[in-house]
Amino acid sequence: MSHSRHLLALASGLVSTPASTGPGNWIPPRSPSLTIQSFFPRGSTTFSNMGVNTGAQDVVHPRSPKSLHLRRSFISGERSSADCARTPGLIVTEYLDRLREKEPDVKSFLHISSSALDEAAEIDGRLARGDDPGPLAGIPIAIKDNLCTRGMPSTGGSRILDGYRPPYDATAVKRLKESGAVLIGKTNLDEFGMGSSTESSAYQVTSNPWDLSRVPGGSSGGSAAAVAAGQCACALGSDTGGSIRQPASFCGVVGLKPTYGRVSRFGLMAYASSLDVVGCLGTSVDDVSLLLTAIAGHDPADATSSSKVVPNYLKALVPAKELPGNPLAGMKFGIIKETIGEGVEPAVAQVVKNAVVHLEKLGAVVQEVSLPTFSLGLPAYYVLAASEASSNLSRYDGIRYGPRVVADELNAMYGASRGQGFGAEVKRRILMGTYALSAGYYDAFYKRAQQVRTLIQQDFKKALEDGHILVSPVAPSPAFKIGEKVLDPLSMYLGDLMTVNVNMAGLPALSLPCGLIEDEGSKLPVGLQLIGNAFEEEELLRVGHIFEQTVPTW
Amino acid sequence: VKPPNVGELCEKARLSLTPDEAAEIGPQISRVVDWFGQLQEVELDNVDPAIRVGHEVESQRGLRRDEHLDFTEKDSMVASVGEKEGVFIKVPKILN
Repeated sequence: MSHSRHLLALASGLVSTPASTGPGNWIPPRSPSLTIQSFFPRGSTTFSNMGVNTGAQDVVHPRSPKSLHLRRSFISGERSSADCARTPGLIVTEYLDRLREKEPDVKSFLHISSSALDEAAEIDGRLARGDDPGPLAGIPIAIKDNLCTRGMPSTGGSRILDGYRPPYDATAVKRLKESGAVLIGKTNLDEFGMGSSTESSAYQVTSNPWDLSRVPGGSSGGSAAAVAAGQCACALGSDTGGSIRQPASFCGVVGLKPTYGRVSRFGLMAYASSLDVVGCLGTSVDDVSLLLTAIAGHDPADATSSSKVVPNYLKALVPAKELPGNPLAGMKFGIIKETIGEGVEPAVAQVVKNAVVHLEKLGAVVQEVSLPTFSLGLPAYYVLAASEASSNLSRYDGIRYGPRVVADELNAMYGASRGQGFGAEVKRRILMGTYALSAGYYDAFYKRAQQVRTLIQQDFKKALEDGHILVSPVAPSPAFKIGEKVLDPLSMYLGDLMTVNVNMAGLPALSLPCGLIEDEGSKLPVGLQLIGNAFEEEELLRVGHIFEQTVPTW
Repeated sequence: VKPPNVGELCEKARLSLTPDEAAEIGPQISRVVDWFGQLQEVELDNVDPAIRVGHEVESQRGLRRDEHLDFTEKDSMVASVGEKEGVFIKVPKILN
């Protein structure tokens, strides 16, 4: 890969793939109704080169570690083909231009930073003086709008926080700033994280860059779409029941849900405190590793954050050309039986099985494992999440922040402010949670859900004890059409089957793009989920990195 | 267990719905609560309820030191408040 072509690709926002050293080409079986397309074509820099017409913007080429490349070019002072230095100022300008160009179609941002260029200029200055720029210096990063950012509004996707400007930064945000990142804007989400399509945002519907008539997934849909559309180099999201992994899968980007306690939740607007985590999205595992290293670690302001040492997650990653012939030799994977049968679209199950075959070709041993209580996780999750949400959202009373509806009497004021400030899905969950926690109902719902939670944790523990990394699809389908599921909340909940149990157990999981499905003329990404033991993100990232560098062309 | 009564739940949750909203949300909630019913059918004797995730999220530092810390953001916090009167936050009267 020539130097100047690499930088030219950087300038256009797309980076060509490194040469694959994986196993030779082979043709996978074709599913009868949906065709599975090549995902990582060699030598091509854009999907338009492939003659693929998604009807949407060019989607950022996957598997390009944009942030890492940017960082290296800033530090080395690499010159572009136009012989100007690749500076943060230049990069942020490019990203802002591309952000604005794509925004009318994708609508991933609720707020665009007005100080991004100033911040970039300041980093230019530090670099010019030879100061250490920080591990993320100059890299344009988008932040999901349920993370508090002092300099920018934070709405949680809700009208009840319309105009709210937090007086503090979330710890994850603070750490990004300290690493020199340029926070380019706040991304759209399902209101307070409640949803799987970003359609329950009070402000706008985000479109999937792969097909603008489809959802980007949720609740971190804005972050996933922004990364896929090249509007930012990488992004922060949150995951309570799959809210990073599922949009990552729908948008063809990498998404990491860290172990519960790995990243501070301080400043994350709480939805379900025993399930929420802050995590990362990027175009490749390298970038996600870079981001996680910056934000992870103990925080005195979060009593549930772990004091376990944070490794440099990048160090575990081995470049493709240094990989031995069977890089996954000796590793055991368990494909979760309950996730590849009924209830999953056959094309999705097929893509995931193909990915498993690839893992085997890399030397891994893959067995089927069963998690018998798997399907119970979904109702149990919704009982717990709705219950915790009903408690967490009681703080939104119109008094201390957000719009207040005028009323003569206090309770009427609460009722009206909340009734008008919250959207339908949030109201449903608050009421369901209130029901489940009502006196006399605890045994029937909440306690039973917690008992199911114990069983799920036990099942995972047993499966992971045998040294497996667990494998499953991320979602039963690729991205569905906007509006397709809004009328039936339950049908939306059923799509979370593959992801919620991981939150119940607090385990880390990675969503990796592993193939494309064609549906009604659109190419739609499918994600592979890898689940590991608590605090074993290094292992997941290492395996994910090997996978993404060696996945064969179809 | 009695099925969900939207009016009672709204009272408890301090949430006001319009009649149309209540009419729409009632069946939606009932449908989901019925679906929660699966949890009744599982054998759960002798299973402890899990309050939190399965692993220990220990914090080695334990309790923080009992020392005074200055909070410097009072002004910006108070700036978010809708209605103020002097040093008080103003709210409508409370009737019972």
